[in-house]
Amino acid sequence: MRANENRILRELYRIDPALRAQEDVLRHAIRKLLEAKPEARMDPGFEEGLKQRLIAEFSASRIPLQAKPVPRFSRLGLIIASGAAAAACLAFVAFIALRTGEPSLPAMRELARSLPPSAPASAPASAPASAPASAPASAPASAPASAPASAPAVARPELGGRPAVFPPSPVSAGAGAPALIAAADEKRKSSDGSAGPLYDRLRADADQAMTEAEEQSPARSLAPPPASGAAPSPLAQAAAKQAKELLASRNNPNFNTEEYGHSVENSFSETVKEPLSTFSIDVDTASYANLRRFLNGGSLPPPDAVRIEEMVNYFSYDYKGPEGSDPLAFDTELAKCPWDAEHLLLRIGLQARRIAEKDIPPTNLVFLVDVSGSMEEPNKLPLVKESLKLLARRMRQQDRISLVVYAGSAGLVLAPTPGSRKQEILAAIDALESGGSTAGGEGILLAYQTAKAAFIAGGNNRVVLATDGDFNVGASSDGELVRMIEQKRKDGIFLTVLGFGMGNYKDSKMQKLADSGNGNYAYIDSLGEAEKVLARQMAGTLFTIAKDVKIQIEFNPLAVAEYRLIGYEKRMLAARDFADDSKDAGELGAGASVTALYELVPAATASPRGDLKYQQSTITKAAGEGELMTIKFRYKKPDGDTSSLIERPVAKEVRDLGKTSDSYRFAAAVAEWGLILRDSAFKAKANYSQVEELAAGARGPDSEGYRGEFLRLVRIAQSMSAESR
Amino acid sequence: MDAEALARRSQKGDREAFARIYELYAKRIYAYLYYRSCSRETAEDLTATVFMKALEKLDGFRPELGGFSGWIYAIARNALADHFRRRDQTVSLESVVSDVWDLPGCDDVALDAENRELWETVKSFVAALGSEQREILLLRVWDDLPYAEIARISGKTEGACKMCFSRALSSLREAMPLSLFIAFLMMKPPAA
Repeated sequence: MRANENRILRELYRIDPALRAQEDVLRHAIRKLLEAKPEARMDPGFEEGLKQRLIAEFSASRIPLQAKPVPRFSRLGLIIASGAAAAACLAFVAFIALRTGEPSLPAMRELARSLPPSAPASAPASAPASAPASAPASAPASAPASAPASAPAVARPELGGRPAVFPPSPVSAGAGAPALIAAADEKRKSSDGSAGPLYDRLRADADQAMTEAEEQSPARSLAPPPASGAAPSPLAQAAAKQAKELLASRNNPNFNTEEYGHSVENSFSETVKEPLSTFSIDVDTASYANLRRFLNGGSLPPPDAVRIEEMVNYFSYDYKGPEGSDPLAFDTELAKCPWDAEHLLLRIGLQARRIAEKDIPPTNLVFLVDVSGSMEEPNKLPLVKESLKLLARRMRQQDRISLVVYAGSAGLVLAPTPGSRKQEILAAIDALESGGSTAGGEGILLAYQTAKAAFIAGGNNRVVLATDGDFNVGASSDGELVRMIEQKRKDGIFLTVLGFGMGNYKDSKMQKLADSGNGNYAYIDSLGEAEKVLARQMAGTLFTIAKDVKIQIEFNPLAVAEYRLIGYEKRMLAARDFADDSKDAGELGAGASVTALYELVPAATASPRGDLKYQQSTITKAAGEGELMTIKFRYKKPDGDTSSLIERPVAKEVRDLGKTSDSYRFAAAVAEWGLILRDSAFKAKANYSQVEELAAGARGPDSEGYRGEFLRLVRIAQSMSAESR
Repeated sequence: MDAEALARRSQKGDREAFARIYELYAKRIYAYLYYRSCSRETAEDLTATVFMKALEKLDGFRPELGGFSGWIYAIARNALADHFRRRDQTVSLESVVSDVWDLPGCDDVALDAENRELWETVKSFVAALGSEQREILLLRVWDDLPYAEIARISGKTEGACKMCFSRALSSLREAMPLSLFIAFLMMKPPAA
């Protein structure tokens, strides 16, 4: 305050030294004014939100490209990168326009104008510049657009004719098309509803540019880049697709075409009426990575995107592995429920046998890569390529890798190749380019055929699908795809689904594919996540040691009045399905751990009774022996058809929360946060400070930093939810 | 580490460096946009636009051509000009409107209510300066930029900027009541 005062005084004296004589009066006036000073203070929530959004954008647009080692690809890479960045920017401007309700015509036009063509011979090159220039009457600012479109740098009259500060991005002119269409539509929106000739002309220009951009796209993307002349059209097509999505999204207030299956939470069941709780294990982690993407992007995830079991299972816990020949072991832990003091929280931890990478049986992997236009974004195809290369580098002499792509049509790019021929495999991955629409069904079929052709008996046979899930051509109805995959899993081929990208992400479809294909599903939002899923936990992701793993718990009515399984809504099984070996269930990868949490209402009475009219339950003698429950597992060997059973009673020992393991408290914290994010009907007293306290006290060594990151995300979510309240 | 070094590291893919740049400049760019739009909402939207553009154009930044401040303020200046051009389309064909001060009336501008009165008072004086003097005056007084950066943004020499600034300040001092003049000087962005 004082410093401000003096600074202002000094400035006043510099202008008029005579003012020194009135210093007292001036000081008084300054103080009064300082008190009433209007603030230009930036909202801290906005500041932080934008920061996270930028960091996410930065990672998406730069990190995958950084690792490009081959200089001869780097120029092409740069073109793709800057095109994608421009496309992202277009989408962003449109987003702002929708949010503020203001037309963003000049911004769009500015962008279209700042993207001069990289290939002067291409037909649509003049389109971005010509449309704005054709509208001088109503848009004075468009004058600069008439500068030659192919000039290396566009001079801007408003900067006194100096060359523009920025060198132009080398980008396909076709990328201007969506801007034109959006601009044309904005124009119509802003001109009192009557379209008029100007709109028609703008729209016609835009449509033409779109058509030309689309016509230039080859049906398949794998042809080598044209030597000269023709524009790099996959990019144009990606932009065209984005434009269509933008136009389509106009009617959608949430501006989001992502799809999440709706799920209804499990509720409490009375032990007397339903003593058995049966479910399939779930080792997927996609939900956590996906909600991290939402939070880093500055928004809270939609409740249906929050699957608590996938959040809890994202983290690895320090469970004891099996001894003897069993592929899995489990332990349990019971304490007071952190968010409801009247209840207990039961943790069941399942640990699969850990297998060293060298001991994994020979592996036959078919990479199935979506190279459709929608994959042309920095956080999609470039990240897919880096991720698959991570995996390819770990392959051994005895392993086989094939590469199948699908876009307009499906094709085999790399026939089954031994893992020792790394350069060949890496080069094939590097050469992938995007373009075309998505015939996902055909691709999946071809991938399974390839996997079957290269089948290794007793080995690890698997299709690895990398996609944003936006199938729109061919066998694309969910039901049809699922039936096809169910058919294929009988051949002993497993499926791993890797989800990429955002904005148009089909979570529900991917989860369904993975679940029906004896598979697992992970969402890859960064190279770091790819390292976790495909390198550090490769064995768990790619090598199944037990399939159709089911859990059934019989609660003792003398110990537990009611119980509720937290999460696993999509994994619930009927009690009779437990012993039915024809019923599909989750797979367990080598070294993977699975955690399930039950919230329990302890029994208050020694003689619980169901209020049924026609039957009466009788309490057996065993119930009086202090047991909490009996836990049963069923699993099959990866190539087996009949299940084995593990069964064990668990005594009722309630620990103090403070004396529980780090695993217990951390899993409890993750679940509690999930309840808050879902705004669960069962969240009771769940709150952010408790989540933070529990998690902070249970970080353990956290050598890979995942738990630290969890804490960071919790804090972001907390500040965002405080803001929205 | 200075902004130029941070920018170089960002160009090489250092995410932390870019986050640091954001921390250094977010408030200043926001204030710059706020003082020229008088609207929190506009300032927020444009701040987001500016940093997204900065990220997009990052590889085009060359430290040898000038400082980072000048570079990012130039992006902000263009974003602002676009914004006002957009809403000015129906108002005037000849004049170049680059900020809220150039608009004939503020009736249809989303000014923040609490500052509206002060803006309206200060506006008549600031608007009277003419866009050239005003730009340099605001860059110096409110945005607190060194002359070298102002020169880069405005396309003049440093000497011309200094001259222009002192003329603008003197004429403002003559035209404005003293208390208003002080208020004007105090509407500075928070120190970065």
